[in-house]
Amino acid sequence: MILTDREIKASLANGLIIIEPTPDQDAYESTTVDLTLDPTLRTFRPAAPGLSVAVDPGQPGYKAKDLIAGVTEPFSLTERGYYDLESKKLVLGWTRERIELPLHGRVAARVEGKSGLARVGLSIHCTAPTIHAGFVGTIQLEIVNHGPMPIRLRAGIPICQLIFELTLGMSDKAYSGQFAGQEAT
Amino acid sequence: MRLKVEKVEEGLHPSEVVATVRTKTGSEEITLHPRSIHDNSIVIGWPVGIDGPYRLVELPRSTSRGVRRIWVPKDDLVNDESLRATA
Repeated sequence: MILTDREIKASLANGLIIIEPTPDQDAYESTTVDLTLDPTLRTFRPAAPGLSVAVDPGQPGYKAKDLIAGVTEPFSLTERGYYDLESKKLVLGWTRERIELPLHGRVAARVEGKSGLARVGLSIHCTAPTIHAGFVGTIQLEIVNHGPMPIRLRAGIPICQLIFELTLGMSDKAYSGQFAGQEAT
Repeated sequence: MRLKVEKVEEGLHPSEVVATVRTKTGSEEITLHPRSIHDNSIVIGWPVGIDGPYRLVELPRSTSRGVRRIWVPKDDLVNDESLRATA
Protein backbone atom coordinates (compact mmCIF):
# COMPACT_ATOMS: atom_id res chain seq x y z
CA MET A 1 0.00 0.00 0.00
CA ILE A 2 1.21 3.47 -0.84
CA LEU A 3 1.26 6.05 1.93
CA THR A 4 -0.82 9.17 1.40
CA ASP A 5 0.46 12.63 2.26
CA ARG A 6 -1.31 12.44 5.64
CA GLU A 7 0.35 9.11 6.41
CA ILE A 8 3.76 10.37 5.28
CA LYS A 9 3.44 13.34 7.61
CA ALA A 10 2.26 11.12 10.46
CA SER A 11 5.19 8.78 9.86
CA LEU A 12 7.58 11.71 9.92
CA ALA A 13 6.06 12.90 13.19
CA ASN A 14 6.42 9.43 14.70
CA GLY A 15 9.93 8.76 13.49
CA LEU A 16 8.91 5.92 11.17
CA ILE A 17 10.35 7.94 8.33
CA ILE A 18 13.04 10.58 8.73
CA ILE A 19 13.61 13.36 6.21
CA GLU A 20 15.97 16.18 7.17
CA PRO A 21 15.44 19.01 6.57
CA THR A 22 11.69 18.56 6.88
CA PRO A 23 9.94 19.08 3.53
CA ASP A 24 7.94 22.23 3.05
CA GLN A 25 4.17 21.95 2.97
CA ASP A 26 4.11 22.49 -0.79
CA ALA A 27 6.50 19.58 -1.34
CA TYR A 28 3.67 17.09 -0.92
CA GLU A 29 1.25 15.62 -3.40
CA SER A 30 -1.44 13.09 -2.55
CA THR A 31 0.95 10.16 -2.40
CA THR A 32 4.42 11.61 -2.81
CA VAL A 33 6.87 14.09 -1.34
CA ASP A 34 9.37 16.06 -3.39
CA LEU A 35 13.07 16.22 -2.65
CA THR A 36 15.31 19.00 -3.85
CA LEU A 37 18.65 19.20 -5.63
CA ASP A 38 21.77 19.63 -3.49
CA PRO A 39 24.19 22.36 -4.64
CA THR A 40 27.02 19.89 -5.28
CA LEU A 41 27.11 18.04 -8.60
CA ARG A 42 29.84 15.89 -10.10
CA THR A 43 30.40 16.52 -13.79
CA PHE A 44 32.27 14.22 -16.13
CA ARG A 45 35.50 15.53 -17.59
CA PRO A 46 35.63 15.37 -21.39
CA ALA A 47 37.87 12.60 -22.68
CA ALA A 48 41.01 13.68 -24.48
CA PRO A 49 40.80 13.29 -28.25
CA GLY A 50 42.01 9.87 -29.31
CA LEU A 51 41.55 8.35 -25.87
CA SER A 52 39.50 5.18 -25.95
CA VAL A 53 38.76 3.55 -22.61
CA ALA A 54 36.00 1.42 -21.16
CA VAL A 55 34.67 1.08 -17.65
CA ASP A 56 35.21 -2.54 -16.59
CA PRO A 57 33.15 -3.25 -13.45
CA GLY A 58 34.04 -6.94 -13.63
CA GLN A 59 37.75 -6.35 -13.28
CA PRO A 60 39.18 -7.50 -9.91
CA GLY A 61 39.83 -4.52 -7.70
CA TYR A 62 37.24 -2.35 -9.42
CA LYS A 63 36.30 0.51 -7.12
CA ALA A 64 33.46 2.62 -8.38
CA LYS A 65 34.19 5.55 -6.10
CA ASP A 66 37.82 5.82 -7.20
CA LEU A 67 36.90 5.51 -10.85
CA ILE A 68 34.14 8.12 -10.64
CA ALA A 69 36.38 10.46 -8.64
CA GLY A 70 38.99 10.11 -11.37
CA VAL A 71 36.71 10.99 -14.26
CA THR A 72 34.52 13.65 -12.62
CA GLU A 73 35.00 16.90 -10.79
CA PRO A 74 32.81 18.70 -8.27
CA PHE A 75 30.64 21.55 -9.49
CA SER A 76 29.03 23.97 -7.07
CA LEU A 77 25.63 25.33 -8.01
CA THR A 78 25.96 27.76 -5.12
CA GLU A 79 29.10 29.33 -6.54
CA ARG A 80 28.23 29.11 -10.22
CA GLY A 81 24.46 29.69 -9.98
CA TYR A 82 23.38 26.98 -12.37
CA TYR A 83 24.61 24.14 -14.55
CA ASP A 84 23.41 23.61 -18.13
CA LEU A 85 23.18 19.87 -18.70
CA GLU A 86 23.77 19.33 -22.38
CA SER A 87 21.69 16.99 -24.50
CA LYS A 88 22.52 13.29 -24.03
CA LYS A 89 24.84 13.95 -21.09
CA LEU A 90 24.99 12.52 -17.57
CA VAL A 91 25.78 14.37 -14.37
CA LEU A 92 25.80 13.00 -10.82
CA GLY A 93 23.68 14.80 -8.27
CA TRP A 94 22.41 14.33 -4.74
CA THR A 95 19.30 15.24 -2.84
CA ARG A 96 19.63 18.02 -0.31
CA GLU A 97 17.53 15.99 2.10
CA ARG A 98 18.84 13.12 4.19
CA ILE A 99 16.52 10.11 4.35
CA GLU A 100 16.39 7.45 7.03
CA LEU A 101 14.14 4.39 7.06
CA PRO A 102 14.47 2.63 10.44
CA LEU A 103 15.58 -0.97 10.33
CA HIS A 104 12.51 -2.28 12.09
CA GLY A 105 10.09 -0.18 10.12
CA ARG A 106 7.69 -1.64 7.62
CA VAL A 107 8.24 1.06 5.06
CA ALA A 108 10.23 1.07 1.85
CA ALA A 109 10.50 3.92 -0.62
CA ARG A 110 10.89 4.44 -4.33
CA VAL A 111 12.63 7.35 -5.98
CA GLU A 112 10.94 8.64 -9.09
CA GLY A 113 11.48 11.58 -11.36
CA LYS A 114 9.26 14.60 -11.79
CA SER A 115 6.96 14.43 -14.79
CA GLY A 116 7.38 18.11 -15.63
CA LEU A 117 11.12 17.59 -15.93
CA ALA A 118 10.70 14.28 -17.74
CA ARG A 119 8.73 16.04 -20.47
CA VAL A 120 11.77 18.12 -21.38
CA GLY A 121 13.96 15.02 -21.25
CA LEU A 122 15.31 14.88 -17.70
CA SER A 123 15.59 11.57 -15.85
CA ILE A 124 17.11 11.24 -12.40
CA HIS A 125 17.97 7.59 -12.00
CA CYS A 126 19.16 4.87 -14.31
CA THR A 127 18.11 1.95 -12.14
CA ALA A 128 17.56 0.70 -8.60
CA PRO A 129 15.01 3.23 -7.33
CA THR A 130 14.14 1.31 -4.16
CA ILE A 131 15.21 2.47 -0.72
CA HIS A 132 15.11 -0.34 1.82
CA ALA A 133 14.64 -0.31 5.60
CA GLY A 134 17.93 0.60 7.23
CA PHE A 135 18.94 3.19 4.64
CA VAL A 136 20.56 6.33 5.98
CA GLY A 137 21.77 9.16 3.79
CA THR A 138 21.15 11.44 0.88
CA ILE A 139 20.03 9.93 -2.41
CA GLN A 140 22.53 9.91 -5.24
CA LEU A 141 20.99 10.73 -8.60
CA GLU A 142 22.10 9.83 -12.10
CA ILE A 143 20.74 12.85 -13.94
CA VAL A 144 20.52 12.43 -17.70
CA ASN A 145 19.24 14.82 -20.34
CA HIS A 146 17.49 12.75 -23.01
CA GLY A 147 16.05 15.82 -24.69
CA PRO A 148 17.31 17.93 -27.57
CA MET A 149 18.04 21.09 -25.58
CA PRO A 150 20.28 21.84 -22.60
CA ILE A 151 18.44 21.76 -19.26
CA ARG A 152 19.45 24.26 -16.59
CA LEU A 153 19.90 22.79 -13.12
CA ARG A 154 19.74 25.04 -10.06
CA ALA A 155 20.21 24.22 -6.39
CA GLY A 156 16.98 23.65 -4.53
CA ILE A 157 14.75 22.77 -7.49
CA PRO A 158 12.38 19.85 -6.85
CA ILE A 159 14.34 17.14 -8.59
CA CYS A 160 12.67 13.87 -7.60
CA GLN A 161 9.86 12.47 -5.52
CA LEU A 162 9.59 9.70 -2.98
CA ILE A 163 6.78 7.17 -2.87
CA PHE A 164 6.52 5.26 0.39
CA GLU A 165 5.04 1.80 0.56
CA LEU A 166 4.19 -0.49 3.42
CA THR A 167 6.06 -3.76 3.31
CA LEU A 168 4.50 -7.08 4.21
CA GLY A 169 6.39 -7.71 7.44
CA MET A 170 10.00 -6.86 8.17
CA SER A 171 12.96 -8.25 6.28
CA ASP A 172 15.11 -11.13 7.54
CA LYS A 173 17.73 -8.76 8.90
CA ALA A 174 15.24 -7.29 11.36
CA TYR A 175 14.77 -10.64 13.12
CA SER A 176 17.29 -12.16 15.50
CA GLY A 177 17.13 -15.90 15.27
CA GLN A 178 19.14 -18.99 14.65
CA PHE A 179 21.86 -17.12 12.77
CA ALA A 180 22.49 -14.49 15.43
CA GLY A 181 25.53 -16.14 16.95
CA GLN A 182 25.16 -19.89 17.02
CA GLU A 183 27.55 -22.27 15.38
CA ALA A 184 26.52 -24.70 12.68
CA THR A 185 26.23 -28.31 13.91
CA MET B 1 23.54 -5.68 15.40
CA ARG B 2 26.43 -3.60 14.12
CA LEU B 3 29.25 -4.32 11.68
CA LYS B 4 32.76 -2.99 12.14
CA VAL B 5 34.06 -0.78 9.34
CA GLU B 6 37.52 0.56 8.66
CA LYS B 7 39.43 2.93 6.38
CA VAL B 8 36.78 5.61 6.28
CA GLU B 9 37.61 8.04 3.46
CA GLU B 10 36.02 11.07 1.90
CA GLY B 11 33.26 10.29 -0.58
CA LEU B 12 32.19 11.90 -3.82
CA HIS B 13 29.88 14.30 -1.98
CA PRO B 14 30.01 16.08 1.37
CA SER B 15 27.15 13.87 2.58
CA GLU B 16 29.09 10.67 1.88
CA VAL B 17 32.08 8.76 3.19
CA VAL B 18 33.47 5.48 1.87
CA ALA B 19 34.22 2.71 4.35
CA THR B 20 35.75 -0.71 3.96
CA VAL B 21 34.26 -3.85 5.46
CA ARG B 22 36.10 -7.15 5.77
CA THR B 23 34.54 -10.09 3.97
CA LYS B 24 35.11 -13.80 3.51
CA THR B 25 36.92 -13.09 0.24
CA GLY B 26 38.75 -9.92 1.13
CA SER B 27 36.97 -6.60 1.52
CA GLU B 28 34.21 -4.47 0.08
CA GLU B 29 33.76 -0.71 -0.16
CA ILE B 30 30.50 0.89 0.82
CA THR B 31 29.34 4.49 0.59
CA LEU B 32 27.70 5.73 3.77
CA HIS B 33 26.34 8.85 5.37
CA PRO B 34 28.81 9.98 8.06
CA ARG B 35 26.07 9.98 10.68
CA SER B 36 25.49 6.28 10.20
CA ILE B 37 28.95 5.44 11.55
CA HIS B 38 29.36 5.19 15.33
CA ASP B 39 32.37 3.71 17.10
CA ASN B 40 33.68 2.55 13.71
CA SER B 41 30.59 0.44 13.12
CA ILE B 42 27.29 0.61 11.26
CA VAL B 43 23.83 -0.78 11.92
CA ILE B 44 23.14 -3.78 9.73
CA GLY B 45 20.36 -5.72 11.39
CA TRP B 46 20.66 -9.38 12.17
CA PRO B 47 22.59 -11.92 10.07
CA VAL B 48 20.53 -13.85 7.55
CA GLY B 49 22.92 -16.75 6.96
CA ILE B 50 25.71 -18.77 8.57
CA ASP B 51 28.79 -20.48 7.13
CA GLY B 52 31.31 -21.54 9.75
CA PRO B 53 32.95 -18.43 11.19
CA TYR B 54 31.15 -16.17 8.69
CA ARG B 55 27.74 -14.56 8.76
CA LEU B 56 25.67 -13.37 5.80
CA VAL B 57 24.55 -9.81 6.43
CA GLU B 58 22.67 -7.20 4.46
CA LEU B 59 24.30 -3.80 4.21
CA PRO B 60 22.29 -0.58 4.35
CA ARG B 61 23.50 0.22 0.84
CA SER B 62 25.10 -1.61 -2.06
CA THR B 63 28.85 -1.97 -2.15
CA SER B 64 30.94 -0.50 -4.97
CA ARG B 65 30.59 -3.89 -6.62
CA GLY B 66 26.79 -3.62 -6.46
CA VAL B 67 25.99 -6.23 -3.84
CA ARG B 68 23.97 -5.74 -0.66
CA ARG B 69 24.51 -9.10 1.11
CA ILE B 70 28.01 -10.18 2.00
CA TRP B 71 29.73 -12.82 4.15
CA VAL B 72 31.61 -11.18 7.01
CA PRO B 73 33.68 -12.60 9.89
CA LYS B 74 31.41 -13.10 12.87
CA ASP B 75 34.05 -11.37 15.01
CA ASP B 76 33.33 -8.16 13.11
CA LEU B 77 29.76 -8.17 14.37
CA VAL B 78 28.83 -6.26 17.50
CA ASN B 79 25.66 -7.09 19.34
CA ASP B 80 23.61 -4.01 20.11
CA GLU B 81 20.55 -4.75 22.19
CA SER B 82 19.23 -1.24 21.69
CA LEU B 83 18.47 -2.21 18.11
CA ARG B 84 16.24 -5.13 19.04
CA ALA B 85 12.64 -4.55 17.96
CA THR B 86 10.05 -4.33 20.67
CA ALA B 87 6.45 -5.49 20.41
